[in-house]
Amino acid sequence: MELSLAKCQCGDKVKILKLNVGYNARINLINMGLLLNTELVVSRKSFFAGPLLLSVSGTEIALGRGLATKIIVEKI
Amino acid sequence: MEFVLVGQPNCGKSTIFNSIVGYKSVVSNFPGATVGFTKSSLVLDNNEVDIIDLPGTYSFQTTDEAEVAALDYVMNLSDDTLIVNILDASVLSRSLELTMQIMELQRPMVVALNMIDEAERKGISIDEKALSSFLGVPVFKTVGRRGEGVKELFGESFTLYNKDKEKLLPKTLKYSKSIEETCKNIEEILKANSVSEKWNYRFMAIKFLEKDVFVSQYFQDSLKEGELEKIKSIVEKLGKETKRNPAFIVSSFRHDISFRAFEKVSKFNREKEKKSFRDKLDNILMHPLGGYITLTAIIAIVFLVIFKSAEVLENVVGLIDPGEYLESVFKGDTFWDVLFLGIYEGFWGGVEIGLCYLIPFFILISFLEDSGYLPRIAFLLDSLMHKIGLHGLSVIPMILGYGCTVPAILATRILKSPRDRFITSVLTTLVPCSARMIVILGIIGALFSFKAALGIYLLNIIIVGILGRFMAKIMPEKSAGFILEIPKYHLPSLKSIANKTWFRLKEFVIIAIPLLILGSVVLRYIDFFGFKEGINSFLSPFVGGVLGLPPQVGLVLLVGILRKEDALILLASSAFGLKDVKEVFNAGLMSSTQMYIFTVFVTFYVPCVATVAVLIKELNFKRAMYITGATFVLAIILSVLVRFAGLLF
Repeated sequence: MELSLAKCQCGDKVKILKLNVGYNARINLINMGLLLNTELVVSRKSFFAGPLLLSVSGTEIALGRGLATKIIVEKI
Repeated sequence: MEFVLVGQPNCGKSTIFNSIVGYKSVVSNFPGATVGFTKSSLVLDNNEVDIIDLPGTYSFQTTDEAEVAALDYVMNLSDDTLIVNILDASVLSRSLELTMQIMELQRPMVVALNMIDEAERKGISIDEKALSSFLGVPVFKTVGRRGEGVKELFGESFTLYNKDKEKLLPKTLKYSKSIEETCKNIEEILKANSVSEKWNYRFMAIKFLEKDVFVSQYFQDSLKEGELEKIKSIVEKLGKETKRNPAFIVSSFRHDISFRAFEKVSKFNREKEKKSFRDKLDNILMHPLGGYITLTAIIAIVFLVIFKSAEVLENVVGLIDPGEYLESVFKGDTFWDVLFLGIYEGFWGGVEIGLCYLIPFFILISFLEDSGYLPRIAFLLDSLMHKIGLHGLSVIPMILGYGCTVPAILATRILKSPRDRFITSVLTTLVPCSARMIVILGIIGALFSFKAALGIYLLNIIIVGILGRFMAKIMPEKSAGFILEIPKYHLPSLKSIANKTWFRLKEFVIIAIPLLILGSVVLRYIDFFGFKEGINSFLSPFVGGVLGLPPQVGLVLLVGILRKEDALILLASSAFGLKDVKEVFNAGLMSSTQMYIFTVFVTFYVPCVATVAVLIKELNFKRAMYITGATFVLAIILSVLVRFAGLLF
């Protein structure tokens, strides 16, 4: 099932299907290891529409909610 | 010869730099247009070599100025250069992606597998020989924080380089057939246009594929008309053929190669993985609720420690202040006496702030920074900062602003978008630095209560919030969004804290102290030549009429532009000829409302000259002047509000 990363819950293991972002944001995501088909775990979610904390291949990446809504994932 | 350290952020590059350079050699900061890199020198086998620490970059695909600065530097390396690529061994796969890009430069290079202890803790063991044969260059294992392997890294690679630097050239990565063909076509165009050979054609061709804006600007002059368009159409052709954006084909290819290399050279053993308390720390420190409680507690502790230690340190520093002695020797009645006393005053004023406020502050901040807590503050406060149109990262310069505005403005470089940097710079100038802390504590804290002094801080935070929101409204958001790596916790080393404290203190010493001296000398001469009365009466319509303060305060406020903390001492001595502010208050020369007006005005009005100087350097003259003017207007509005509020009580 496709859903935006922002809608995922803590502990969800997901795979990236689409990155609906512009050139710069996409490069920034790629640099942090967030590419198409990347698998990651949502390890933390903060209150008040704050950022998400993602575990991606051994690193922890904080991602703003705005960007997270533009990343389409599926649960695995 | 020159060593250039290249690596991703948080790979421990600067730690290695500091550990090899140590305190013996002078570390100097060369700020470029906007982003700085650090250069120092080192003696190896009786040869002096330069060593350069480039800003950390995740890749050479540029999206911000730090990356552009790093790319610009590596594109124009001198012939006698060895690249030292530092990798975080605990995230080898991602670190290798930058390595692949460095390899494309085809320059002599070595690789340092840093934080090898971290990797082992994660249960990852790396076969450095296999990695070395994969990359075609020597690989060294290091633990920068403990200095392990660092001497060998530089010593051995220096020897290897001098023996035969051709042997340190990396292998060439082969991309897919279509990419290789496109690259070749672009290379031919570059060759036909006789673009300088100092740039590696293949590297450039790949940059064109990545649609790097910076690189295409670079070649605007060296390429004949229409050639740039020709290259662009070749790139587009590849895009059409593969049905993907060429900008991302190359990077995903590199991503795959890196991942395969990582799998080939390393082994993961779950049994060897050690979970420590550090992994559990975030359950509290980043907890959706507990995180904010601990954050508040930590900030409260930091301020309490600074307030209390400043109290003690001021007494100690006061004991060795040669001021009274100097005043008795130099009477201040000749031109040269006045000059000398002015220089002394400015210098000593700077020493006092530096020793009593900035050193404790910088030590604590460096501790938070090195421990890895600062990025977590950015995470926790991201949603709050969004409310004022910024994102979490802006918090970091603003926190530094409580120490000294000068290094805080320099810290806004961590922000990617110029808009965010501008707004954050404006807000950072308003954050009360330690010089303003002296005024707030010395007047409101001493005369009324500690709580009242905190009230001024709270007022400041509210104003900063409102202003931030207002600015975000008039400069609509166009930022790249919030992405930040959250590093693992580390126990900071004393050496690194000392280094960072010294580094920040130096920015204060170099930029602020000369201006403090200038300010004091000017003030002394104003007094000496008897201009004081004239200036005060000239300013009195504003000082008395608008702010409702006694006319004697005029000159004090003017001096506050040069040195804010002076406003406290001068309020008593220069304006009223008394010993301290308490006497002024007790003699009824200024009412409590007037004390509040004075403090609020000094807290918000015109940043000190040192801050203006750094704003000009970081932004530009016009914007610095806008900020200066705007803070002045803001200070007047707030002071007038306090004045009317005073009438009500």
